Amino acid sequence: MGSETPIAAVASARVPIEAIEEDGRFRISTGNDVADLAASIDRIGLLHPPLVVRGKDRLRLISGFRRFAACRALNWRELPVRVPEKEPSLRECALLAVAENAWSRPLNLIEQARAASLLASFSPDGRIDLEEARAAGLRGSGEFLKRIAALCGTPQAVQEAIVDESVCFWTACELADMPAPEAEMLAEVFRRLKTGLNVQREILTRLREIALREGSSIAQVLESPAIRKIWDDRDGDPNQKTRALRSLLRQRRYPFLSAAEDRFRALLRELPAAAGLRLQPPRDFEGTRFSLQLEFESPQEALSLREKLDCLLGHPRFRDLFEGKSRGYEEDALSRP
Amino acid sequence: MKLNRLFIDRELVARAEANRIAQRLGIPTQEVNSAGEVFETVMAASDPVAAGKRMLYLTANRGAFVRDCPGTSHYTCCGYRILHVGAYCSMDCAYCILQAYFHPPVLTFFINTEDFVAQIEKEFNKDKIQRFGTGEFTDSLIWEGLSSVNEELVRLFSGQDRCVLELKTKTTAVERLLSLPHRRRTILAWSLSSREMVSRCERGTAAIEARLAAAARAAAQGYPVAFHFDPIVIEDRSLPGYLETIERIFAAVEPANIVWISLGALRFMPALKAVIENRFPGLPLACGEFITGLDGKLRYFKPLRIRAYRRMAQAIRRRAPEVCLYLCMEDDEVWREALGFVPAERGGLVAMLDEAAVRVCGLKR
Repeated sequence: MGSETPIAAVASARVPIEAIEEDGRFRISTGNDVADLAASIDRIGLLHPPLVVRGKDRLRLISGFRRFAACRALNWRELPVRVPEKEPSLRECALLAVAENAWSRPLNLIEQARAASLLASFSPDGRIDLEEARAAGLRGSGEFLKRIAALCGTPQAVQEAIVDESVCFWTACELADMPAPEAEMLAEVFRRLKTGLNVQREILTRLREIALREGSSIAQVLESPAIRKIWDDRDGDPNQKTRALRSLLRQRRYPFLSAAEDRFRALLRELPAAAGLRLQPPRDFEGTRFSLQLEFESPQEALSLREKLDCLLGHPRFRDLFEGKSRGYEEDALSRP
Repeated sequence: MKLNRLFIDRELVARAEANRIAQRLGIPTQEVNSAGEVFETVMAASDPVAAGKRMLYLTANRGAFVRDCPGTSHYTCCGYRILHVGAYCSMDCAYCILQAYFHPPVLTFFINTEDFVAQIEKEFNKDKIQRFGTGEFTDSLIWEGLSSVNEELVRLFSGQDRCVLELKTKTTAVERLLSLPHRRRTILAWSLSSREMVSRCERGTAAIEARLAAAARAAAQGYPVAFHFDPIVIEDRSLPGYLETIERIFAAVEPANIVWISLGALRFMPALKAVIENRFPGLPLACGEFITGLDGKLRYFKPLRIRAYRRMAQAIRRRAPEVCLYLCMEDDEVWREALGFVPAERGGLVAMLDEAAVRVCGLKR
């Protein structure tokens, strides 16, 4: 398809609205609510007529589905349309539909997915021609377009969560590879939690690893009572729910490490507390060096910290920090937490 | 070794060793000007890690044949010295670090043997006990039947008294080595695991029983033997399988003939996690309770490692209290908690292993 034979050359016509049928294969827009658009058309008129091609008996609508719906809602009997001068192939129809959408407004992820999938489905080898996609206003590498096209196969609930941006692109691609019920469940979880990419990635990775290790499924993990109780709470604050879920998943993913952290915190509570003194264990209890941080802003405060420090170091439980049991090395600490 | 393609460096095609290997394999052979051509072919495959196991690249080692073990900081290294005869492996173990270590991974064998021999002989002239092995970047015995490198090594080491060679394997390919005059300067060593782990995680390796039968045959021919439980996979209910293997060792081999047994829990560079997940989906290997170690590798949470080591060490010591038992890449705290001492109390790990080599292999200081 070279620039010497433009496929976008169109003629204008006015046709009875009943003579047009929608060809859903070419629908890219995800928006269904046409009330605003209808009000605009009613007041200002139809600025940009929909694009139709000649079908067997009727004209087939390939771009302008929302405009068509709005005009129908306004009870128009006739509709101004654009008709390609040269009868386009299905592949050219796809290109026209994508170009008209992609060059006129930013597409959301599902619209990009539909556009990519449309180009792939009418290409002879099922692959997207990158130059053609770019010409139609669709950006991204071949790998990106392939991944995004797969989102068309996700269940409706997942697509809705993608459109309302409850589910990030990375997460959406992961959901596209999952069984539908599991993907729907996760989409619902993310819709309720309203989290960003990093947290979605963490939650999904933890769920997947817990499921794999326990020989269950993500759905089963999500259905376990303590976890379900968190995400199923429709009224709770999303931030609090997210914190609670992340904490619970971490405990289940790292039960021994979590237990060690609990033991450390319990031991700290037995030691004399002091504002300005902070005792930190080795990271993940792997190293052997603890750290003690002192915060002060005057010599007097520093002197008072010294007394508190002496008190801490002299406390009988302080030495327990360094011994096997408190570090989780005794057999009883190693029974399943 | 099931290979389907052989690459030979153009400048080495006239070498007798290259011809011998090509004839033995009888597979399509391609001369290449550089490693880049081989890498391109490997990278074009959908699974380069697997593709690299079915192609063999014969080239020259233009760097050092003798290298120090890449031990990492903060953890105690065994001081083993690597003989770099080849790279990568034809077997396919899920946890194998070589999958992520080479970029891209491709089975490589060095045929500039004269350089190799010269470098080893230089090491023999040093006035100290040294332990060498070829099993760090490859399995030592996958080259049996293809090359006489092991025969040459056994012969070389048998002619001196200060160095010992360790050939480490998951195969049973000892047949050709059994009749060689080794003078106990070569240790035949097996990587061991539990039977369950072998069936789940190791594709193409010999069964535990077969490895131990090979060890028994080697010991019967006077070879000192060694065993390495590395990596130990720590999962719920995984330990009994390892304890069963320990019992099998002592049913097969006399403790007096065992130079050392090592224990090392699974640890890996973070990059390997994705490789395991992609190549072995459904295997929960990377879902253990891993933390980031002081060397940046992922390791099991310390108390879990201690428990596994402690129980395995108890089982080994019950059967063989005199055998040199050591931990691979662990810190003093783990040594003390698991084995009851730290290497420094016995002169350090290097000295412990040197002493074991002197005692069992008859090296002379």
